[in-house]
Amino acid sequence: MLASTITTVKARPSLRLPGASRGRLGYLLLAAVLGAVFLPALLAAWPAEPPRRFAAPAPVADGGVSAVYQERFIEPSPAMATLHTPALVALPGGDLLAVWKVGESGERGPIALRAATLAPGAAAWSGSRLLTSSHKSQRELGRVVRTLANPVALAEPDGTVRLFYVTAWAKWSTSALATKTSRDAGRTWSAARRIVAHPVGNLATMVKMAPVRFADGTVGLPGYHEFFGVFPQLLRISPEGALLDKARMGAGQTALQPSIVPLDDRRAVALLRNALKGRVLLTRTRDGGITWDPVQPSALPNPNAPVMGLRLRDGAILAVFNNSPVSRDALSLAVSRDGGGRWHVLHSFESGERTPDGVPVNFSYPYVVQAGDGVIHLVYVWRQHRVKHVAFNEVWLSERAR
Amino acid sequence: MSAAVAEVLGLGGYALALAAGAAALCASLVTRRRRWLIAVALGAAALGVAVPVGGIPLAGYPRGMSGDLSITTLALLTAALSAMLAGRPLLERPEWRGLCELAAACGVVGYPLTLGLTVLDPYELGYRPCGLVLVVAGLVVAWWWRRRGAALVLASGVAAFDLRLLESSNLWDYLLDMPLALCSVGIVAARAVTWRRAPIALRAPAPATRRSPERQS
Repeated sequence: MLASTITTVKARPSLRLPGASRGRLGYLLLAAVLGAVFLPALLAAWPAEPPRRFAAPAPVADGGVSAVYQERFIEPSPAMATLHTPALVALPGGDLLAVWKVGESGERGPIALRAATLAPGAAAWSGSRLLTSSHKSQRELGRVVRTLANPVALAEPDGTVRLFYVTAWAKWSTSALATKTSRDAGRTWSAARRIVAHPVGNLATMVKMAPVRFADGTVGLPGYHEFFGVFPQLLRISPEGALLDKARMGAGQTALQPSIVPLDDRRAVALLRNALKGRVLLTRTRDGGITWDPVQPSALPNPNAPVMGLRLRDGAILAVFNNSPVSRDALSLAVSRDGGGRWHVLHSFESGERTPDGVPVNFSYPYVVQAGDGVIHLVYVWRQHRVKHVAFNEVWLSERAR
Repeated sequence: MSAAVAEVLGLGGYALALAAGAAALCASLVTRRRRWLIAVALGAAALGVAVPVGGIPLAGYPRGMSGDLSITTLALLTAALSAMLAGRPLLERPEWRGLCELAAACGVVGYPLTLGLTVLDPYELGYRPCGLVLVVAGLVVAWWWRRRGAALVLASGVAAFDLRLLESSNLWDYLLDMPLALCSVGIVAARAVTWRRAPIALRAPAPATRRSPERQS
């Protein structure tokens, strides 16, 4: 019986060295494996990273000598579907590119990202065009995708536009990041590519707010995790689009959607949505975003809605936020001149509208950028079916501050 | 490394898993099995890679839901298929057991931390993985004489990371994935339960049923 068992065993293709070779040859083979496999990995990871620094702000003009304030909608008529999470990017040529999400689960029509551009000096936005849809992203990624969300974009100095957005196959806890690039100011886009940011099935990593630049050419992508824990994190992306590392900006169950405002090359403050409602949360870094202070409540109210910050030329921080601890019916602008300690509300874009039934009207997802000509552009979702664009300059802000 | 290689490994991993699963299922049903199993495994792999459902290969669904498989899992699936289809076990039982226990321990300790249990995130160590590479190298040295197959599986994961063969730029994703961690936890737990329930006389480690030629000599 035993003999028959042994005779039926075939020789292994042999991971085990025969006979006497377990001695010297084994050591040689081990040395070869360590030298050929582990040494390159160590050498690639070993060089100490220089101190991380935020990039100097791009030069911005003064935005004119007289006050500018304009309001318009990106599309002339309301969309049938619900709109979400508009984002802006100022292109090197002076155009403004807006991207936003159309549709949600349960609505007719595909869930898609659409884009439109505003030429310098133009009175109206171009007609919107499809950027991608859940079906198209599914085909390009080769993976199941049911919904999309939260596009954010960044313009490289060479004109390349990078888009980061969220894909999910069920609830938001199944989110993963995808990226596309455009070399023609957003008219055409590369196929989507996946960014792997979490070891558990690459689940639950999302973005929402504007990327920041580092001095070494890498990009800081403010993200957050939303599964068992809800916490913000900063993902660093290489110029080639690879995820280089990530750092947690907080822990727990409350802080998400960080909007990072660099104050100088090492310090930054991040404004965060509060999942428990109450007040906007805030955290700071002094080492270029590697470590962050514990998250603290700020003086601004927050109804569990995104809040976005922007550093002005004089160092002040501008924040656009829902000015209520419970609902998104008011949208205001505040400025802090002490790095986020005290805030002065300067203007209300929307203030507490209600439907005839008494239900608060929804004005949400503010996203604000400053273009190279100094004009500050704000977009937000207006009554859930339109994207409103407001443009103003620092002279107008100064007048509001008086 | 090119995105095409990552795509091949990503899709191929789940095709391999489908083939191994189908072959294992049929192995328990068919007695004269070798040719049947080869046909079944090839068919299942082709189904995973070539049959489009909703515009993507069938393998794109598990791939989208649980991420790409690690090099460790690809090696274990290859070893399992080799044993089932060709009758050549590439890994011996202690090597399987060592890798499963390692994957289960990393999954049980590491995954809750990455999900936000504390502010510590061991996944961050995989981007500039000096420490992690040293730990894996230590394991390879420790396993080299008695569990060389398992040591080579770990080394192949690091080698693939050197070449960035997968989509991820994190060493953890080359060594461990969620399906591997879950299966390993299940296997380790099942072994623990059966060991506790077994009579004391039978709790000795299972004898090797197959011996390599060098041990016979």
